[in-house]
Amino acid sequence: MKNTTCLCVWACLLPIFCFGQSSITISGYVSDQQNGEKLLRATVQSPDQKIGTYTNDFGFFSLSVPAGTMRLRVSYSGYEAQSIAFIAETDSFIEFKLQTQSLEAVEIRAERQIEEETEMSVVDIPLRQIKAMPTLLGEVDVIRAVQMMPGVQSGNEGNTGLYVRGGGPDQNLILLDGAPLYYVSHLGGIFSVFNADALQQVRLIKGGFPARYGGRLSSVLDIRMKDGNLKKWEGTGNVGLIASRLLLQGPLIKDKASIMISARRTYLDLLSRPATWFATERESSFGYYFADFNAKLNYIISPKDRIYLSTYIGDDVFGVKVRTENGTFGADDYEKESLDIDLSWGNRLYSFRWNHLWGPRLFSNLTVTHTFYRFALRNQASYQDSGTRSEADVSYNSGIRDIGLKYEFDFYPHPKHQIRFGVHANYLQYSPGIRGVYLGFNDTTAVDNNEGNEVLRPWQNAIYFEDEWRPNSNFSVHAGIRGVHYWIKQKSYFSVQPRLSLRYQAAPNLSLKASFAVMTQYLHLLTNSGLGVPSDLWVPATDEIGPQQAWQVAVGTASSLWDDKFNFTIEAYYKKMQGLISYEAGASPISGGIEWQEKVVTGGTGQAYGGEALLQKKYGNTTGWIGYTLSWNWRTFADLNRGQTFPYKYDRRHDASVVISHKFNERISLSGSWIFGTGNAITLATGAYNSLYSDYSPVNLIEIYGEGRNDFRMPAYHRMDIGINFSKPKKWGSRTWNISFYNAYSRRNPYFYYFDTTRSVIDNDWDNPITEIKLKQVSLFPILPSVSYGFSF
Amino acid sequence: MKTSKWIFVLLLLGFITQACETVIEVPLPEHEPKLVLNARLNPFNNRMSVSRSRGRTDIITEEMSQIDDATSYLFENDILLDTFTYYQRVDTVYNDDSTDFRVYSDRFYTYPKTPWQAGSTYRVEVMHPDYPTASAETYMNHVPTLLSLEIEQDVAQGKEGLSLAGVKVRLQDPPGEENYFNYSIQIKYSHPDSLQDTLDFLLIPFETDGSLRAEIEEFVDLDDILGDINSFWSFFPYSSDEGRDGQILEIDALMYQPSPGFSGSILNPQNAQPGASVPEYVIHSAVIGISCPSKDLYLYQSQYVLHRQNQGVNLSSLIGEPLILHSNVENGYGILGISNYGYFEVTF
Repeated sequence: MKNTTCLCVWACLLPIFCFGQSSITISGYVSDQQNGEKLLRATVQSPDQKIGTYTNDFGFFSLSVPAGTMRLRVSYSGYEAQSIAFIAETDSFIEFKLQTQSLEAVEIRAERQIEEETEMSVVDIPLRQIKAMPTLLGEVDVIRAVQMMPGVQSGNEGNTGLYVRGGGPDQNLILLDGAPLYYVSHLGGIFSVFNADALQQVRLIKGGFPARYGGRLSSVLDIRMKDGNLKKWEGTGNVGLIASRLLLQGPLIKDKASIMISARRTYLDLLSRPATWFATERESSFGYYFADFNAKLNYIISPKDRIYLSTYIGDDVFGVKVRTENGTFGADDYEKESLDIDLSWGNRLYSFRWNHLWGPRLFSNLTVTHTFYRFALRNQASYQDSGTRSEADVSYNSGIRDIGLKYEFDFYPHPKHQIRFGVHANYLQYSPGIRGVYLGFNDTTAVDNNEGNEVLRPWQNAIYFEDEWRPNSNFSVHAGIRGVHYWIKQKSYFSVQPRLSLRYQAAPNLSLKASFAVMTQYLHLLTNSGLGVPSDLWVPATDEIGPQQAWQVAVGTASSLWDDKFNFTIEAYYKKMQGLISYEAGASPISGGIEWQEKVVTGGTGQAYGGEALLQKKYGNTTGWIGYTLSWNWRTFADLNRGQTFPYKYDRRHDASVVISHKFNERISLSGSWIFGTGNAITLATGAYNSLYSDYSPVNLIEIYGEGRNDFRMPAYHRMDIGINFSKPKKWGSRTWNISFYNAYSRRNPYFYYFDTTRSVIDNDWDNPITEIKLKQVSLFPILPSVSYGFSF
Repeated sequence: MKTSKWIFVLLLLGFITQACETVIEVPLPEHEPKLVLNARLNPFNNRMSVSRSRGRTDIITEEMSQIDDATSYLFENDILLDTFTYYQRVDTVYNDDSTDFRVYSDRFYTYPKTPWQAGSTYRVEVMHPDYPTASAETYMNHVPTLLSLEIEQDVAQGKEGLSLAGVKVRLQDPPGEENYFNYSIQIKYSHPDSLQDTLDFLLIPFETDGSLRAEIEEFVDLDDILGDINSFWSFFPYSSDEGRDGQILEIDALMYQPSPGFSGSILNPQNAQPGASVPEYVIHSAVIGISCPSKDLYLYQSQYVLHRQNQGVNLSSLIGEPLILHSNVENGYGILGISNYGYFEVTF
């Protein structure tokens, strides 16, 4: 039986591998002529043979064609298409260098059309479109642009978390140059860590995941940094109200090695620290800043070998300093107190990649990554008087370290097949919270210990295989399978994850698509479901708490409309999740002493379903998109809500967005966006009653939660942003003034709710104090105008 | 032009520096009030309070919530026993200027007898013209029977260096019931240096099977137990007969034993001197008290502990998970709980 199966598999694969015997292979790279940047997913076609392919994630392509006279056409969005004709007798290696199109010409169809792509639920957002959008306090934000796509929701006001097709913010695989990032927010989620100047590509996959991606249930956000200009040195920069950024890139060795360096920093602390220090007569000061640093080194060793070295370092730092000193030193009335609170969090990411061409049909990429996310809180206090001195030093640290190795191959055995396979290995280290306490009195140590959650060190290994098969121009299949082994504390988990995407060209500009994907995630995010106050804790699957799993099926159509100027997609999806965890009823994330595993309920299931529509225009003077999502999102836990299904916190029935940018001329462009979303579902007490132990104080009141968990809706979220750019060429380059209005009509969107309790006495009736409780809504941003100055040289 | 540009920028900066965060009041959906029954019935206490629920943001005063004109019926195994009667204590308090006012306290409905029989189901119905009739039903469990009790002194050291005694308890679990219980031990002992002949001490053993002991150490520290043992009794974690119905329950526990740190004030101060030879305590007898709440009361009390942790003006109240407290009241809120108690004395 086993032999028969092997024979059948071999019989199927034989035509693929035998194709090479009667054909030649044209391979090479496609890059930008001006700066040498490789162009990803550029189309390479042989119009005569009616076969084609597209460049991979490193700009490489390989196309097997019959020997003889042939013509190749290479095209990429925003670039002049290039055609060459030649007599192909042997395998050839060609580097195509495309020129940027003039603005008017961009209207012409110049890229592979959406209905020709096998993958579905994929959104590419051009960086130029992201940069044209209105800013928040002068900062362009990639994640905020992604949040405006259908099927993607933001959490709260100013939150850069992604909630994709009913999933949580932990269920997104966010890759920066192939390395995973765990926390992508600055300033509590108001800005993302991505500096748009340093990026080359932003690609979001919401479903039908290729097998090369894994480890998350809901989406993949694949972000690539610029490689660096191989031709000449250039720079861009921006000075905003709260931050400035600068990017420099250029060749170290022309056409062989380049470097890109980018930095961003806020400077509120530079003002707030001295201002508060002098305002409090040198007693206290506070400050906050965040900073990002990106760098990438790109070295072409030979036509067959190329290496990349990337790094990202980002930090948020908040500090409070208090100093008081009274009396005369040595006298009885002498007192000296000090308090230092330091809160910081951030990412360290390093990525090394080596591209190697084993032959015209086999391309490999080796990636070694190291990501470290840390959160640290330290509180130091001291007190000294004439006779005593005491010190306290309390700290809390948590973090995730991820060391990964990927070895991946792209194999082009046949013009109708593109095969990818590879292995992934990851060593992770989770520190879910370590508390350190030191107490000293008169120079002797009273307490000095560390305690907290156990540090966990899992291994995660995967192997995958995928094939994109195009039997004819009307039909294509992208099938894959991924096998994963996860090991933690002597416990192993295995999963096999099939992936399938189908495309059928039903009409010249219309294709029907379907996809199915199984995903497993060995990571959980614990977040509260109360009044909306954010509190997140990342934890791994353990020997006691298993992984999350999901399968998703999606169907849809993709078409190009109105002379291919517009892309229009409609998709419907159904996602089933299991193995979810949640805090148990009554648990508090900050109650000390108890391990997080003892505060959770496990075995939860979730289902999300809905439909999405997207009309997008990527090129021309007017660009933008209109998106709409209708969705439902449910959770069920045996030990929550009496076992009854309840809406997920981010169950959002309607979600709509409109983004439009218009370039009036080379000097002036205007952009606007509007977003609308049904209010978040929260659990809100609408009534109260005395407890069995009541002493009539609010503390002893028992709350009444109506129908159950998440049965209350916050008001709908909607916001309009407007931005205008004034550009002008200068002798040294060009400059752009940007004026933006975030939340242009000053909508008070809810951030979170809380009950405000006050007790008061009327007419000196001290025996009958009156307790008043009010429900209060906190909103973050009213209208926020901003101005920024950008330049490039 | 350049000057006006910077003025514009400065104006924007000023606008920006206004406080971003705004707080507004949000109206809540109207709450329909219902009757609230709270009763913890046991052989010594037949009190039930009746009040009304209110909107979460309603103004709270004791006067507004109490209901003193309800009609309350008590049923045993669906047979009407009688009605509850309302009781309140009224004190007259005089001001400095000789004027007076009345203070109401101890307001509850009570039943004059303690008819509670283990194995019976009790139901309460409360009627009031302004609210829907509320009712609740609960079952009174049997108490496990003590088979043996052994106490061994000085088996371990506890917090603050206090000595721990080992306790071995064997109980016969009543069959056919889902039982929860906790127990305390009152020991009678003497000490040569004491001014009294015998001393009583009420202690709560810590079970050594892991989970329960960990819970106890989390919820309370030693001072709580010693200082406020009676109120703590209600929240003390319960053992369960889950998976052991009708079987002999063997419990290994530890308890803090009488030691100089416990009652130093009544001992000879010389005992505190370094190197002093402190005489031993002598235990004469121990009374073990077992409390068995109904399942409803057990669920209510165990969840109430979590509820208390997340109340008040602290961060937990903002990020604590919502808790829907157990209730067995239909058409209303609250809890009808009933407890059975058993006492067994062992002489050494």
